[in-house]
Amino acid sequence: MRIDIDHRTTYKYEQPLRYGLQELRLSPRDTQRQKVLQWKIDAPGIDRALEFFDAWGNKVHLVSQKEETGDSTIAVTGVVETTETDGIVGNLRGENSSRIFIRFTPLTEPSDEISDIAESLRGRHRDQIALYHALMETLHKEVKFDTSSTQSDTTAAEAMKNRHGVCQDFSHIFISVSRLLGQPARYVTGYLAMEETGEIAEAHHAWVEAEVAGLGWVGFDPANGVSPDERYVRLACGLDATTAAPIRGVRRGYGNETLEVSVSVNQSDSQ
Amino acid sequence: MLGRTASNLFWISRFMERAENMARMLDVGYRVSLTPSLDSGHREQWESTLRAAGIAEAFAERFQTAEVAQICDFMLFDSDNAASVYSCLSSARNNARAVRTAITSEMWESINTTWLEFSDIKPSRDITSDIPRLVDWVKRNTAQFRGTMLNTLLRTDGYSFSQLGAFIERADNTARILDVKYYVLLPRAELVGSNLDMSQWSTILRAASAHRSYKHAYRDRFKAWNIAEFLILRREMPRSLAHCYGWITSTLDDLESYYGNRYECHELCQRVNDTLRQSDMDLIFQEGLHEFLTNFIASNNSLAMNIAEDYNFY
Amino acid sequence: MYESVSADFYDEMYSQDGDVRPAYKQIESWISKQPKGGLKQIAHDAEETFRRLGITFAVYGSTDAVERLIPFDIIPRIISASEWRRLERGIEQRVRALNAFLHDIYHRQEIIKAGRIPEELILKNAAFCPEMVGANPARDIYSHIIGIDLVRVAENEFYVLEDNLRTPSGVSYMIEDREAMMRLVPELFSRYRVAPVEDYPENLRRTLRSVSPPSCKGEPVIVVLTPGIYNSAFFEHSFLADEMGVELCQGGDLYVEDGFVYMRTTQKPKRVDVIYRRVDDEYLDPLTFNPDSTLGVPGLFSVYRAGNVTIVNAPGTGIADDKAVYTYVPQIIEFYTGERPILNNVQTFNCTNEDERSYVLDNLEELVVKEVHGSGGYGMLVGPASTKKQRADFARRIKDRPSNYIVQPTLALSTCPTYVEKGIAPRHVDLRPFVLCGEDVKITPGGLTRVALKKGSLVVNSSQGGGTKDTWVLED
Repeated sequence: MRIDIDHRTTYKYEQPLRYGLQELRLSPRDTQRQKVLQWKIDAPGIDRALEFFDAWGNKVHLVSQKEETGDSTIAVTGVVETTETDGIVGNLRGENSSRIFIRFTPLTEPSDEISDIAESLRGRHRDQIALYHALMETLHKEVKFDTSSTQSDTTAAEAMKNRHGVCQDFSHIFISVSRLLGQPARYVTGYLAMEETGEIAEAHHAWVEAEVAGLGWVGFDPANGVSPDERYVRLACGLDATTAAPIRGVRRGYGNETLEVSVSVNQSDSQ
Repeated sequence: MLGRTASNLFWISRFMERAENMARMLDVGYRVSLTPSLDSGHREQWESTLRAAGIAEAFAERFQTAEVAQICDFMLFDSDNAASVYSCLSSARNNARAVRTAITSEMWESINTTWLEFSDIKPSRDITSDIPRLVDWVKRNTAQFRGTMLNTLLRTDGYSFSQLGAFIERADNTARILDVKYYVLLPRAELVGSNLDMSQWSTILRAASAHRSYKHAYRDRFKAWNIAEFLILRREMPRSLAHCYGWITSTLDDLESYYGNRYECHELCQRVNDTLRQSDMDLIFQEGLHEFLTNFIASNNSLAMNIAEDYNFY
Repeated sequence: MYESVSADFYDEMYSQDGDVRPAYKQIESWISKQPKGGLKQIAHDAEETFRRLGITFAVYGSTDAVERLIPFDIIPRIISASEWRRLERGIEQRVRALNAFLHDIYHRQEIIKAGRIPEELILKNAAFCPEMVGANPARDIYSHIIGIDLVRVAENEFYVLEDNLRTPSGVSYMIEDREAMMRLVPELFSRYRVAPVEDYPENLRRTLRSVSPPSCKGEPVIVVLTPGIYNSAFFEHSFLADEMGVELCQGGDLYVEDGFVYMRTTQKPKRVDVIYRRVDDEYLDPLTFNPDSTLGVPGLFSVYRAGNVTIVNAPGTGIADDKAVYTYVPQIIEFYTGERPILNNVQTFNCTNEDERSYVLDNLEELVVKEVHGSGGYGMLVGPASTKKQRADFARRIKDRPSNYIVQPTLALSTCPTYVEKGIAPRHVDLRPFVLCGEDVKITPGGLTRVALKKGSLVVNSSQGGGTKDTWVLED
């Protein structure tokens, strides 16, 4: 499937920005299940951006801005060709040790409830894939998808306690359980081409990759209870939502900043 | 040089100058409180002193009455008063600590010793009787710092920034003393020529360490007109606005030749300096002394901000 | 001496029979020839000098004084040339191994795969910095500036008490103590050939220069990054910057633009290549680490990963001096060098092991308990000097969180004659030599001798009232 992406983030400043610095994790990499055909990032300072790979294997752009006035927009446009692989992503080129993804972070630190889930799954399944599907079923039963009850800094433990959450929270709980079981799991950000109705879908999405022996990284979308299919475009990954965030920045200036995000992800007409 | 280093040097001198000014103003207030009282009493005198020192509001917020001992403590030792001698010396030292590498060890020792000794002073219960001694001590130590700086610091950009801090503070202080005190003193027409009037006039000059030099310059009794001229326009008077701006102008010129760049601060300084050079007392009184000084104080503040901006003090 | 030497401890100056050891002969005779009040006068002069220069150390948690002088003792601690040679070899072996370990765990993690160190101990350790994985510091060196804390218990028996691979402090005291001694008692230096320590700042500058980032073509611009004047070691930061002739920066003086770090100057911004930072990892870069930090430089870590600046020491070196990892240092040395460790580790009990824990709980009175993430002598129990209540308290804490503590036997730290109020008395000392790793490994002969000034005390930390001594390594 060819997927067209148009993702714009606009910052509006009340007062001129004195200084701004942003890390952009907005460069999808080729994997077994996706091939990037076209990709362009447009942002203030992008022509002078610093490019590097972070510890999680993402290509990062660091852009700096000075004395900016009015709005500033980060626009990402591109075309990605995806194939159905039952969620298998495999190993990316030049990846660092996958074992660092057993490390807990403040957002993925387990609670007793999360440990109980891990214990209920331990040793009960013929293989890891089956275990992860059982985990997704459990989460589907226990946690209600609800966009109003959590924020970007809600931890896995808090979301589990409230039994409510969005894709970020489902992913954090999944990751926490997997790491408790000693299996590397990581947070993935990306896009989801929406067509069907009746299921949870956001253009901007987050899910999980867990390492499975013999297969490498395999995707799981715990908010939807499925493995990512052709409609998913993978952008970046990290230990949790913070470290994988597509845009992370600091700014210096006076007055407020407002943010507008628009994402459109469509199946491409051109073949 | 780091922009912050320039800023620290600027503020070391500015705080040392402020500490000295604070002590001198306290001295004047104290002297006045010893002289026979006018109908409005000492309260008005002290209030004008506090206003000249820019701390009247802060004082009023803290205290209901204006006891002499309270005022003395507030101006000398109160750590909550950002302009007290204590706070000024502490701030000067903190700025110096941050740039130990940019000042000479003699300057550091002078500031550090001053600070250590001052923070060891335990004022006696009757603080007022200690005032002359304490004021002398502060004047002596700040003068020693300035002497040490002049004798040891390399004449490079750092020296220039420290000069700017001292003279901008001094100009501000002189303008404020004149503004506040002149306003308080001028309307008392019935006292003109009396002994009391004379001693009142002398307080303005004392606050600027100028009551003796006035005599040398004018060979005349204290007159409002002369005093204003002395403190505003006479270049030979080292605390006059004209003198300060002569010094600031040549210091900024030094920076221009050192760095090869002219900025907004140079233009502003030039304007203020031209105004002072071209003025005479007729003009100033026509415009209104208070307006003249208010404008000056505002320009002087803007200059400090421009310097900070142009040389990246942040 | 005012107090006599205890038979339970090795004394640096006197042998068990009361004879003066050869290296101390001249000192001993100098002391005995001092007129009455002579030592007191020297001690007084020393304190005055230190106070005037503002050589201070801020003590956390003390309300009466923000800055204090670290007491300086006028009797030097002496190490013979042959003793030093052995220490030097041991230290070099240790720091090379620890740097190899850091490179390994932030890359292929061979030591974990080989099963020589538990995976969880490293990867789930708070001191492990996952953001560092795959980063490639110049010359593969992570810890460039290291302090190794040693104690002596017998003639040829030194133990490593602790490694300091993050931002070890104290080197300014090493230099200032020497300076003070040369000024106060110049005559002693004519009787001994003491190896110099004054070239440390120059060696530090060369070390920093030798690890400039690949993107730096000309002469690298070096700065020292300090948290500011309220930091306990601010004097040292200022001292080192001054001695090296480089700028002393605070976070706000630096900023990132277009992929490089710059400092704000009174003129044009100036690019910075090497940052000797004395700011902890967590506060280094609010964009990558603690977002609330105002001490760091946003974007610094990204520039570092991209190879456009060198951070010294690298972030994440704390994993190599973690108290729980300490136990494995002998294995680490063998794994990376193929050699037996030259310097001993102190035997360490692991409280998560049931047998060891029950031994620990039964014998607290003879043991030293340290919090795994504590430092500076805080959160520590010294068994022989503890009260029953303190021991009960620690016993409970160990049972609650066994992995949070390591336990060691109480070491019989050597004593060294020290000038105290009533005269000269033996006091316990340790030794922190300073190591520089760049182009090569340089160990300054001597280091900082810390002395516990309280009678019988084994805690030498300056935050706990310890003092310092000049340390002399003799040349053959």
